[in-house]
Amino acid sequence: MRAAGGCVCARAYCRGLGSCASVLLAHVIVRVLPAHVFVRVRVAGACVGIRGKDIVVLGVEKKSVAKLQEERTVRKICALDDHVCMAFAGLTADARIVINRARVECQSHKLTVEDPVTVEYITRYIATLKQRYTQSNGRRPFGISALIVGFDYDGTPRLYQTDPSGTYQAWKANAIGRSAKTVREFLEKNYTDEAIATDNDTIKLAIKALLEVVQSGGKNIELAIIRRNQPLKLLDAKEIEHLVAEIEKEKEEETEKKKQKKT
Amino acid sequence: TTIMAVEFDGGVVIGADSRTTTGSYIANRVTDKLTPIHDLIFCCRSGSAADTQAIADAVAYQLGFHSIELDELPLVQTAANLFKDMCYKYREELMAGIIVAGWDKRKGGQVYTVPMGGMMVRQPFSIGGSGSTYIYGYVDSSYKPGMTKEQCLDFTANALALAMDRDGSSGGVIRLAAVSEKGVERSIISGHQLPKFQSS
Repeated sequence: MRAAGGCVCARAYCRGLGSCASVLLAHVIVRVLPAHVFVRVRVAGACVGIRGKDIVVLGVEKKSVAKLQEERTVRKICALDDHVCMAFAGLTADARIVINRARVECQSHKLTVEDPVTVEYITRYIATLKQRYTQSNGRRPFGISALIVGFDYDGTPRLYQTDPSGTYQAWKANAIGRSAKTVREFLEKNYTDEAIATDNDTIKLAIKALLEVVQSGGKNIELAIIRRNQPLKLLDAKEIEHLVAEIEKEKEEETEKKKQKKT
Repeated sequence: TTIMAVEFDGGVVIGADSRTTTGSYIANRVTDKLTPIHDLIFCCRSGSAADTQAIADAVAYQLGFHSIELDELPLVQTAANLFKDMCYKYREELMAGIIVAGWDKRKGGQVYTVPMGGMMVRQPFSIGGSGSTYIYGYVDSSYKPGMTKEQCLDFTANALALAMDRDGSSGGVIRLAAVSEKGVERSIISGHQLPKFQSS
């Protein structure tokens, strides 16, 4: 019996709401979700995550707020526990649900096994949650990609990325959201051992990566860092301005050096 | 068990004995009855060890989630209310007398007592456990408002030592902790260092 709603699959339980289109293609290519889900992520604000040696950094592009809007209510970097945090690109409302479930799971894990979650565990939990919504009918997938960073209790820094399909991978540095490809290419060129030698350098690399796509510089950047055994810290506007100024000075010095070499 | 908590300007001092008994056998003579619920919030546990451990774990879970959601340190009053909710709801099944104490930025150092039955009330200082009955006279006569942290530590140590001398279910070492905005300082008083009195 064919359900209404335009779904072409012949499954009896399908209510025709469209989320199974992916299954038809799944055996041909890697699971391809309804395109509109990924579009949400692609037009969302840019996010970058970098894994350093003793620090992990998350940077997001802050959407400019309307004149009458209170700025502090738009937070795209959220702590999941004392040692893990995530940034997302996509539908904010969907993110709120995922973050809530992840926070509960962090506490539940601590209660049952008496250990804080590892970054991989909570990433797997979030990814499994997202995947469930791609395979049951009547529900649409979560429209967010997430970058999850933190330190495991053995001190190893971690960075993971999840996407609406429910897959997750570990990364040394990655970007999601608007112009993610541009930012990722910048990171591929510039993520070297010297570039992340110190905590400060790692933070500057994240800012440099975001500046590739963010207009009007430091004002539109929100930055969060976690150092080993320390809680999440959000850098305030002054610190970001200071770092942006340092970066611009370095850029000028680079161009000066190149000019001198030529002459 | 004897447990105690005292407020001072800028924080709280909490103390407990270290004896856990099954009947007359001392199952653990070095118990830690001062349990952290959050970074700056502790609870002193008396009554059934199993019940109080389970309740403390559950409240730590709820408070941890609440604090991450708020992105702020939780209030001591919130912790006390969570304890009260659980102790009152399951009052028939539980045997737990708990003193919640800690520091938060709204009201500074606070002590809330949640005795068996599930009532909750804030007090400048509070005593609990089987040994507390022997020291009501001492604490009522010795307490003065406006004590410093060191005076509170001495007051608590003396009171606990007297209770441990008289109550068979209290003994071992005195565990103390001072909680303030700066953090937690834990200390221990054992053996010969215990305060001595004319009678003992």
